[in-house]
Amino acid sequence: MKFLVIDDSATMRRIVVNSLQRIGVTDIVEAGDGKEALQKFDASVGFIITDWNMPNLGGVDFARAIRARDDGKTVPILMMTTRSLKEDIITALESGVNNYIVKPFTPQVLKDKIDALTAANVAG
Amino acid sequence: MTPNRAAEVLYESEATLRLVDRELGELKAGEPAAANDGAADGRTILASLPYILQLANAEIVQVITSLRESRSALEHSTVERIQHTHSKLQEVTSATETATNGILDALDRAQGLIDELDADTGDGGRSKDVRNSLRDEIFGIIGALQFQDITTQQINYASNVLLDMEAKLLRLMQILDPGAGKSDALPQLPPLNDAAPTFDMHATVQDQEKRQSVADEVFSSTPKA
Repeated sequence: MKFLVIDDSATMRRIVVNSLQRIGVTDIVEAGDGKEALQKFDASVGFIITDWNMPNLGGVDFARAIRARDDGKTVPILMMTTRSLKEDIITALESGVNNYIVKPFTPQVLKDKIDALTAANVAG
Repeated sequence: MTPNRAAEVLYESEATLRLVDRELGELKAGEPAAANDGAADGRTILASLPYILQLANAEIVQVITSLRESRSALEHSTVERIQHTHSKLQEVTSATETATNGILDALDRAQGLIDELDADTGDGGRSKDVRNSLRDEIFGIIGALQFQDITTQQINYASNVLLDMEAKLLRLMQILDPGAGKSDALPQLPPLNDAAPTFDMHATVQDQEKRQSVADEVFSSTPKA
């Protein structure tokens, strides 16, 4: 399955990519913001991990844009951000995000969320 | 000029303005009396008018001088310090990013070396356990480097506050002395972008588990659309 990893921090992208590779993910596409991610997204992407605060297009607006596309209605979106106020989390949920990781994340939490969302997507 | 001197100048400016205000008030209070007391009193006031105007002019010149000094003090102490601090914060962000990427490069090489050891020594024995433990340690270090993203957001927030302060001070200087125009001596910092900040003002490495549990609760308790 192809993963799309979106974060404006190159360091964070490297850390996430490294974590994904450790759990066996090899097909990974990276983007530095939501705008670039929209250009790189297509039907072959099976999972999205996105940051919230990014230039040009943030994670919440990106999620809304993906959900508005015919080929983006069911792809799992995992928000990974430092934002942890309850109202922020609800905003993310309402934008179409399927689950939420608060930075700094642990590899186990990342794996658990990916497993749960992938299983739910297959079942759904 | 020091910030203390700047405060003194501002205080003196305010005191001078009060003095002008009082004298103008006294002049205004004298007008009805002059009208009632007849032409003689009117002539007396008229005779003293050049002196009063000269006095008012001197006070106004003094106020303007004080305001110019205040403006200069704000520009050359406070604003300069803000800009210096802002650039230092950007240096910190850049230095930590460079260092973090250097560490990540080194960890990638270390992982490659462990892979080579795997190829050389095969699957058996304690050596494999040690190599796996090394991989776990490296992975732990990589995860810990998330601090760089979080501290960068904290620094960007602090920088944004400084930019906001600078913009407000520059506006204040324009109010104090609009005739002086914009200073060419100070470099202009990038404009504020409040509409789409690329940082979280609440970013922290503290209480991760507690904050994650809030997110988990929201996602588990809210029915899916």
